[in-house]
Amino acid sequence: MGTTVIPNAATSARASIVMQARGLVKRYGHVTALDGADFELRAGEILAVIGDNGAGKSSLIKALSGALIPDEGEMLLDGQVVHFRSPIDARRAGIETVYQELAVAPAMTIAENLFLGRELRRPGVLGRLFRMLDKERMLAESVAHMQALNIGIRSMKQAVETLSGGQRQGVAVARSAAFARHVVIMDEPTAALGVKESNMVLDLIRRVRDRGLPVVLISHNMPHVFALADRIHVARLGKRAAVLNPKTISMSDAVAVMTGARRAEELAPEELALSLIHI
Amino acid sequence: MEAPSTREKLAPLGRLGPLLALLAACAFFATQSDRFLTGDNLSLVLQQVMVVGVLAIGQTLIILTGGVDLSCGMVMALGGVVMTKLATEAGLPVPVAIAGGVAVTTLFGMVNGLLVTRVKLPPFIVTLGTLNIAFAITQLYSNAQTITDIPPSMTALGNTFQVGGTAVVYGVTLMLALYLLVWFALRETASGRHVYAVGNNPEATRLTGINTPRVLLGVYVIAGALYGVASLLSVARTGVGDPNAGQTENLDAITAVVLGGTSLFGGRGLVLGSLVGALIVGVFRNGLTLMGVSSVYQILITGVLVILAVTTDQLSRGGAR
Amino acid sequence: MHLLYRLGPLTLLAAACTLTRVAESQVPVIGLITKTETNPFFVKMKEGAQAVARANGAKLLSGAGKNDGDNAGQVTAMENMIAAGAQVILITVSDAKAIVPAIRKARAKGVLVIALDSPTDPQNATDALFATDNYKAGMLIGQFAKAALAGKPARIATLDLLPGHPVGAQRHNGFLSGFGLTAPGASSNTLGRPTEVVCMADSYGDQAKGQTAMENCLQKNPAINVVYTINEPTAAGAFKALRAAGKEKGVILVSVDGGCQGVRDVGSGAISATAQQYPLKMAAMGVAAGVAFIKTGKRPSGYTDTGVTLITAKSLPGVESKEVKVGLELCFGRK
Repeated sequence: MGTTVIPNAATSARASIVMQARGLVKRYGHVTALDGADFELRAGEILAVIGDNGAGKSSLIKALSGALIPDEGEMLLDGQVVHFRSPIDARRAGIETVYQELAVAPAMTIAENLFLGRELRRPGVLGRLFRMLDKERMLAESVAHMQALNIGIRSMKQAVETLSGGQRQGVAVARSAAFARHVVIMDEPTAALGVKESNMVLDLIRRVRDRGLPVVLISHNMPHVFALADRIHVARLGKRAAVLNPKTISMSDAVAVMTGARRAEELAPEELALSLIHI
Repeated sequence: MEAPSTREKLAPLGRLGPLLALLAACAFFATQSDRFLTGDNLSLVLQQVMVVGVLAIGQTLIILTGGVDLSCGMVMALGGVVMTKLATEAGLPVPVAIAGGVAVTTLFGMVNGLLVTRVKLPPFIVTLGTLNIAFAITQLYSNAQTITDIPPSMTALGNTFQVGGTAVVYGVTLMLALYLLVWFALRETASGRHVYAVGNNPEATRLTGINTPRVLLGVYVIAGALYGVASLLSVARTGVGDPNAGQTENLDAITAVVLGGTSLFGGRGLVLGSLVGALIVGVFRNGLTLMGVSSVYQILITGVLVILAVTTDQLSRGGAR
Repeated sequence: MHLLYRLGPLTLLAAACTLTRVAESQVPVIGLITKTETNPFFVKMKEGAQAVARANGAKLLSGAGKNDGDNAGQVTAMENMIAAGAQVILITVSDAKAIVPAIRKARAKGVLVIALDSPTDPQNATDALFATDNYKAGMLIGQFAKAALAGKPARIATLDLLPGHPVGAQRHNGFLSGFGLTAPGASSNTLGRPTEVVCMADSYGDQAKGQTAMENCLQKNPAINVVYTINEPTAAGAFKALRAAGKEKGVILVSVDGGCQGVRDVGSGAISATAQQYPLKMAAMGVAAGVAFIKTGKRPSGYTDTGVTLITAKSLPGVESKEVKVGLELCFGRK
């Protein structure tokens, strides 16, 4: 069973494909989490992934970020086939993930968190023999990374736990943006935030995209999805149900596709960002 | 700008608190006895805390990762018995005997570390088990007899050198050197940061790609080696290999770490604080004896200080998550 | 005829079983429960008990608590031994009061219970007590120290066990009494503190802690000339501190126990005198009394002192003592 892809006029047909997955399958005993799921991420876009609980949304993201090894199917990054055996492999390939729990050490400073696991050492003997950290450089680079994304925090020496929820999210996003080479994946970035901080983070995500990094965004929050996304990937029953165009489809129709009340075949072509014909 | 919260007001206290407490105690005892502040007496206190002081370095590392080591005292006793037995009965050269003792304690550290990282058992339970095993092995190997007539070179660290008019024990300088070394490693190297990170948020640390099991195993192995050094210092101080040594040293080391401001939840604290913590206990013990106060009060005061230390730590973090 | 064939073997089997049971029930079973497994004092006690049991054709079961003060462990051991057929229980009690209900239950079943080394509270909760008098042990070394001081003003340091421990209190107060100072009696748990005692510190019976305690006491009063220690490891630590301060010659250092290492220390001059106690004797007497009870039904009763001897290298007039050589023959531990 293959699929033929017909690019829709609503999206740029010439945008190159950064990351792709075909026919991903993952089973846990009798439960099938991914049932031949496909995925496609284009350069310079924010792709939102939505889906009901059990739709295979989080399993898909785990496969893309290396936290899950699919039983079948393949993944391509910039046209090359990739096999991720762990999140580290995905990171090395240039894919950074901002987890829902943020993965920051609260007692440590912003600068320390930004470089956690990727610490810079001093040049020469001090760095090689004594393995001393280059704290000045890490501090300076932290300032630069945060400024590049317009995140307004006064001191990089503040402990992360003294920051507000939105600011912490900013630190986690800045870390991914600083080290990602190809893709940034964000899992529910606005879930724990209030209105003002959410808007701050939405702006932040746009700035990441504008700096040339495509973003995969998982979210339950429809208004945020519609505010941010260039395209919307709908996961359902372990597969890709449709890819929608947020500019033309209504929020309620999008939710209907997500819950299965409407099927992709029933939608108008301009509502789709990708139409799929199964052969 | 809001008014500083309780947390912000107390934060500097959290770091300096132990040192202030130590200085306050010293000032108090100086008023109570004119013998307290003499060079000889202070040098004595340093010698008396030297063994627990080194144990506390290893204990600090482990507590920083969110664990605890109840076996440190017994492992130290085992190391002492092994090295003295090797030097006397087996007749091995002293450096080899010492290496043998340290090897045994390091091995115990590795066993603790493997049980924590591979079998994924809680450190409290693991070290509760290994403390009993170490004790039993020590008793069996030594036949419950203290080993005496140690070659003088083995107890060399118990000898003194002159600083001004005061005799200072070599072992004390070794303890201070080890503290500085570990302090440097924790502050200035990536591995040191990883120790803090693992204790502060192990899941986050794993997700950033740090090999968390390797950090933990490393901490337990290094602690084991440090316990071996403590064994040597204990042998140097008492002049014997005592199978009944170290019975309360595990709690003494943990007390020193807690009094020094390190959080039992992991991820926060200074290793130098543990030195201050050990000194606080030593100063109180010495000072109260000089004052002729019953040692029951020393126990009471230690308990009160521990509660104060933990409370100050909690408040200065404002109960931060 | 057939019946005989069938009954014959059965009868023989029944007879054999009965005879075996009778034979088995004639082997006396005695249980020995010590405070801990590892203290050399108790190790020696167990050895002595086993020797006497073997000599009398009795079976000795042994058990202990996990540490000093582990009452529950001793109760469990007692119950298991009685279930295994012990008719006599010998016990060095960890907790004098807490063990009493279990002992009463045992005696209600007809088991003979003898306390060794230290009494229960109340003392008559057991059938008998074979013990060493810790107060008397303290008195002996107190008398010795007084005589050795030869009239000089006393400046005494006591290195005790830990607050509230009965054995620690008895030895300490006995020492003071023997020295001629006012002191609490043998049943008191508080440590007496006349003015001649210039320093009191706790050693927990541990050599390293004894050293620390002595160092601090010397800082307080460098003119200390008599040191009482709770046991010989503490004395060894105290001696190290005294020697480091250059004071080992002028200070009278006394202790209690009479273990072989301690007696050797008396011989080398590190300890001036020690009061030797006899765990072996206690156990031997206990087993012998137990065997007698099982065989003849004769119950031992009351308190029997197993004796204490002052061991010193140089005897003093007016103070009865034995030489180091004698001490080495009778000591417990590695000779």
